[in-house]
Amino acid sequence: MKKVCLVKGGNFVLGIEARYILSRRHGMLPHETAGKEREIFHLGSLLARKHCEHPEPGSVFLQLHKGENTFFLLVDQVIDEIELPEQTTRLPPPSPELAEQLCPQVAVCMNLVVLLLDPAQVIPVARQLGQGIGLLAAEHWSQPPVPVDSAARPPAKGTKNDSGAAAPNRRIRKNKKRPKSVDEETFKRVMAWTIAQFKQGKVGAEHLAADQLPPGLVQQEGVSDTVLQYLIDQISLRCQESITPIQPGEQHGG
Amino acid sequence: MAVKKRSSAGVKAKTVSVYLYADEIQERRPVLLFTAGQIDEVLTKAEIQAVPFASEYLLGLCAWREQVLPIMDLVRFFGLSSSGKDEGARYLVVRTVDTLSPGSAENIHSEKVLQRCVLKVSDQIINGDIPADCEVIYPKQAGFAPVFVRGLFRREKELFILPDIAAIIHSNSLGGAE
Repeated sequence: MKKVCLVKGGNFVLGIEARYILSRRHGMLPHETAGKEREIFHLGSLLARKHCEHPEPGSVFLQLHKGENTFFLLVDQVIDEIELPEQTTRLPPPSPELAEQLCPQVAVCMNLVVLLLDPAQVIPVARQLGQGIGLLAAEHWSQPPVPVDSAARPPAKGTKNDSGAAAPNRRIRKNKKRPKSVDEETFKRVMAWTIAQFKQGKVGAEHLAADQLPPGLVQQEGVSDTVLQYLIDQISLRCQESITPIQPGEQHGG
Repeated sequence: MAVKKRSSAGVKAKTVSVYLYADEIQERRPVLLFTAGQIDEVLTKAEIQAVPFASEYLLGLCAWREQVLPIMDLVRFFGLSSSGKDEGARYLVVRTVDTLSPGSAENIHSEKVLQRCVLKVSDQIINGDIPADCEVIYPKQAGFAPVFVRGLFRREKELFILPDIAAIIHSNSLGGAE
């Protein structure tokens, strides 16, 4: 028997052998992970041969590995984990060639047909389709970089400092002596605290303020409350987005 | 699923007429004709698993007696129009013998392979003899590609189609005449 994860992508349900799944993650990918990825694939869009508009709420990032390829695949839902018999058959005709390439094997379990996704074929099939089909736009998977300067907080409109998003990065490069960036540990701690607050329904500015961070939670020296507040605001925003479907045309904040 | 008998008692039924959910062609209802031995089972429902990148006529796959079978809609395959609702649809498990051509020079004998598929049809399935008062017509006359039809007969109110299931299963194109 082989362990298989049943996943949903658009109108399709496919099986992925559990041995190919390195990790699962709900919500967004952490910045340090996202920064390493050039492409992330979206199963529903790939199978429907279209561009991804908006991922479904509750989508799950699966880190897949087979052969030389390791990549993230966003699926709408992980439905179940089942055990399939080792014996599989090929996809019968008149199945199209692309389907045979992506899901060469099919199995029957409890009188249900399970098409088995070959992770090694996700990237080649997406390449064949071309035009960015099956790719997830970066805004849907990458957390925004954490601002590293107290001046990085977006100034209010109409002020003289309203010089656009590129300004913080320029300042970073100029002021290398001061400890201005939050380190990974601080990021994780602030994120955990913010999410915990959010889960308790504390979403307003009075609950999610940098000065309410528990003493000792941020041990990094030299990080201003302004930077921490911006970080909290961004994490809070992502939390809200994860439970609120984004309307077409709406832009992400941050 | 009960199949209506039209033949007289004591006479073994030879054909099964299966009405399609399609609009009339030349003022006749399109009806698929099969030999009785071609039909393994009539299902009232099927658990369909969609196949990515598939043509519209391939509705998906289903499991039948631990086998994976394709489910096809011949109305879509032949490009027929259908303005009615397909409530009460039936799923016909059909068998065909496919002749595979030799794969190598050493294997000069062609191999016959039993294949099955499932067809989505209406619930009007009639077991009986082929009507004698039929006129043979050329497939293109009724808008069918000849390669997918073994025969076409018409009567006053029906157009009988003998589909070539093996050719349809292995088709890379649709079955309407160009």
